[in-house]
Amino acid sequence: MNLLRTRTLAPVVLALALTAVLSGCSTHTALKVQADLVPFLGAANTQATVSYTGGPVTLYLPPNSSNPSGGALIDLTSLGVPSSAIAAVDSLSLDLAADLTPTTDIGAGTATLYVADASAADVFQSQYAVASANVPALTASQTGQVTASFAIDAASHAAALARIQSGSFRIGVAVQGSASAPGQLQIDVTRLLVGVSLPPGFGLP
Amino acid sequence: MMPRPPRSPARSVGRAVALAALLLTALPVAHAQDARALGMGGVRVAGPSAADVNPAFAAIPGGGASLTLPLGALSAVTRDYWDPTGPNFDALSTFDQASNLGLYLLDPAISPDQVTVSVDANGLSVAFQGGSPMRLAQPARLSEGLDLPLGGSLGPVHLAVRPFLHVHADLVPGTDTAQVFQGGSPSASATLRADAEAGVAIDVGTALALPVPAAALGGGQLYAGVQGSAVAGLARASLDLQGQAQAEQDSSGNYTGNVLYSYSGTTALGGLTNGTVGYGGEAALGLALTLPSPAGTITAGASVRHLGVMVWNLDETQLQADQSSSTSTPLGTVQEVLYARHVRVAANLALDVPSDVLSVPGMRLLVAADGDLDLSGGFASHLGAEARFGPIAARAGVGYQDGLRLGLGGGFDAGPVGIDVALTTHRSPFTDHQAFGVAASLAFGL
Repeated sequence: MNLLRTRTLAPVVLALALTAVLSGCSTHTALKVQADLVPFLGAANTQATVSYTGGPVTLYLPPNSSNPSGGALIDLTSLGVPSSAIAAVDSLSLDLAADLTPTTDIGAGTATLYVADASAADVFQSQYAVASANVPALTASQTGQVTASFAIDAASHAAALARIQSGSFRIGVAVQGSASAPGQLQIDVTRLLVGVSLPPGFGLP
Repeated sequence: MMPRPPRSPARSVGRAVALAALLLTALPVAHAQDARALGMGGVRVAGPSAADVNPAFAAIPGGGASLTLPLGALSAVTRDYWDPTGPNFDALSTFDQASNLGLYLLDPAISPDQVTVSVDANGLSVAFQGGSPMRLAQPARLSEGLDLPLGGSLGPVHLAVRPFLHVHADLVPGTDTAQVFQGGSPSASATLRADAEAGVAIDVGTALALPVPAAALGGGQLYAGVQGSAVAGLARASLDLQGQAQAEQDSSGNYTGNVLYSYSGTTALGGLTNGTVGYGGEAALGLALTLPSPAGTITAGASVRHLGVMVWNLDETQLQADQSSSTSTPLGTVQEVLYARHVRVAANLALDVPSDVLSVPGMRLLVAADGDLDLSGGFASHLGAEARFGPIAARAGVGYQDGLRLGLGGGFDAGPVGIDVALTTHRSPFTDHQAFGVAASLAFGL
């Protein structure tokens, strides 16, 4: 699942060109590009129903139906940003929101962000784990909202940032909790806001 | 002693450009608003220094020529936003100052600290943080001209050889594009028309007092002026493009992830690039009337300028592109005949109140207003006043010229030479920023 295919964000390219000409050609102007990917994914890739057993439960987001451990492939080069600018990306942020409706209680747990190489077959390996956030407990038959925000920069996650600076990478979020009994979980990802920041000058020569 | 660090080539180039601009802007003596006009909100006052607005003004006694000092070029030395290799380079500040070289800008427009480009369910949106408030949702017009008239008067006839470079550009964003900067839009469209011309003109003009009996004009005097120009065009480039981008949606209204875009238009190049010379001419006509009244002397003027035609032989190319293909098709050499592209109509009105009417010994008061309509789009109007106390003048005014314009100024008349200074404002390009600037002019024969 390549969320940012070539031409997908052509308006971004236009806007980048416009802002670069009119204002970005200044050494103090930073650029942030952010995209809420949910509208681009469609229901097939943002809504799912999964079964779980009692005890530890791990959910993978977004619910990539064709490759559950593949996460989401993000190709920054499709933004039209020169590779020198992509290499200058100094931070990435991810804001995730999902409505989860379990059929049995699931205790409070954690959400962990993974950033992997574009070629990685399984995003959710420990070496790709970047950061974690707490998620609240879910009550049976009630919809609870899980939100998590992550920030990656050179100071805290150099290896992950290097993968991002390669221009093409995979991301995924694993939500872990403990279910009181086997059941099913309805997942509806409502926000998947990915933002990349370029330093002043956009890293351009 | 610490060795002096080597000066960067870019900085040297910037300083050279600034110096060249200084020299160039010093040459045209009687064009554009001088410090006297700027101090009065931009209003032009009848007299030889305003002959570019109304050729009849050249025959009206009083006033004289003025030389606007290119104070803006000083910023190349005092400010570092010009230096593209420096840490404080700012393209917007540079453009603001470069397009106002007659002003030393105290606070030019500043580029944003951050530009945030967002894509969400509403489409694309762009937001700016910090810097001057950007104004990209509105049509933008660039109309700059550099004219270097070199000549003088031969009796009642004025002759000049005038190299010129004129640039016009209109960027008109569609309403959907405006929405990009105001919350988001799934589509964006815009039209860009731009052309640049360079060449040499020979100007011949004259102005005279018409022999109309004063009694027939209520004791007034009527003046007429005409200027004709023969133009040899050395280079012309034009671009006419329409473009749009549309986020594709399926039948359910969901984004497919694709964007459909297209643009079409033509480019045209001529002159030295294809071994031809453009040719044509233009004319300016003006009338002015001075009329005594109990309140003082009324001066009224009306003019029409840039009536002309240019003929170019241009190599045209048709451009067509969308998300799947692009073509560039030479159309061959075509003859382009351009009629009256930037005709301007101007009107001026002034009242010169003498000291006996004011009952203030030694004081004169001048109140003036003008309007200048560009028939291809654009309007400017100004209202200002000048109070003179012997050799000293104080001025104030307000105007609309690509936005609000305010002016305060003063002057000192030392006989054959005087100096005028002004503090003025203008709206910086692409922004809602009101920049303050200082102007100075030397006045001759006031």
